[in-house]
Amino acid sequence: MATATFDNIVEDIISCTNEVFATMIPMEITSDGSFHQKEDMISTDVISLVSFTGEHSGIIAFFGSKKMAMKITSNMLGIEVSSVDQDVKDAMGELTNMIGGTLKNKVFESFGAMHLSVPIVIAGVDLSISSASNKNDKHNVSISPGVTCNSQNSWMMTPFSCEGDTFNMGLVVKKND
Amino acid sequence: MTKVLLVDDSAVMRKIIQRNIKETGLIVDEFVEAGDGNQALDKVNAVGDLDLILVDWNMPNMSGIEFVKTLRSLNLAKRTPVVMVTTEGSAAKVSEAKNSGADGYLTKPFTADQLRDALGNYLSIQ
Repeated sequence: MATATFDNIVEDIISCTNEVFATMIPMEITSDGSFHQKEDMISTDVISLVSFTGEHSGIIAFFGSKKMAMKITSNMLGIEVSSVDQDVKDAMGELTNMIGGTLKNKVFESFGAMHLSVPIVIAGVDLSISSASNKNDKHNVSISPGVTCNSQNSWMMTPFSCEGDTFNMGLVVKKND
Repeated sequence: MTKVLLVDDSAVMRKIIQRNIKETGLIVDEFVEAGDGNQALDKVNAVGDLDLILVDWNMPNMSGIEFVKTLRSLNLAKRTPVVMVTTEGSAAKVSEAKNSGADGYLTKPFTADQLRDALGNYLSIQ
């Protein structure tokens, strides 16, 4: 089995996100590298998470503004969306599910088989994620309000631009013992 | 009167599939919707003659693959083709679906051409 690396997976995240946006949204997006989000705070309006388990486990997540989420949903449905309603939450969940599913199929060779969870979507104002080390030097990642997960790795963020707005696809991943 | 059952826990995805089917010129007169496999079995019993069933894999309560197995084991809608529409794209999953009684397979995300190719054998095209 090939060794999984962050360098490779950034390209895969960009490729998968581009593919989903080109086919199912459809919207033109551009990517601009990636960065690690370790102990920093993230402030955003909409978070959509899909967790995965297998030889590797972790989370892939969408982080974006309400405006961005509404714009994406409007394009997905072909109708104008003016508030973050159930359709927007459903659409963001499905978006992350498709990106996660496409990524899973793409990285199967290097990361092994994965099982994806159903998406969890949280929408609010200035939602934050904070990481803090515990005694085992793990990062406890808590997503206000009330959703928690544990990761030994920092979030790797891949930013995308779209029609004057931006969103990030975030990933935490670790190899299971 | 062409009737298609859409089974997906995402209402947005059901809307997207309906819109894409219409845009590709495939002819459907009525869409019947279900949010999981249990609801889908109820719809199959209630609606009767269906021309096609499109079903997601990962859903709460009863998954798409469990739905297909149940449908085929109970000999329900035995002449109705079933196409899985799912993010599960591995060869093993495709094989499992076909061995369980699915007639076709379409991986999300899909293009208009891929949708037309996957459903063109079962629906008329304008």
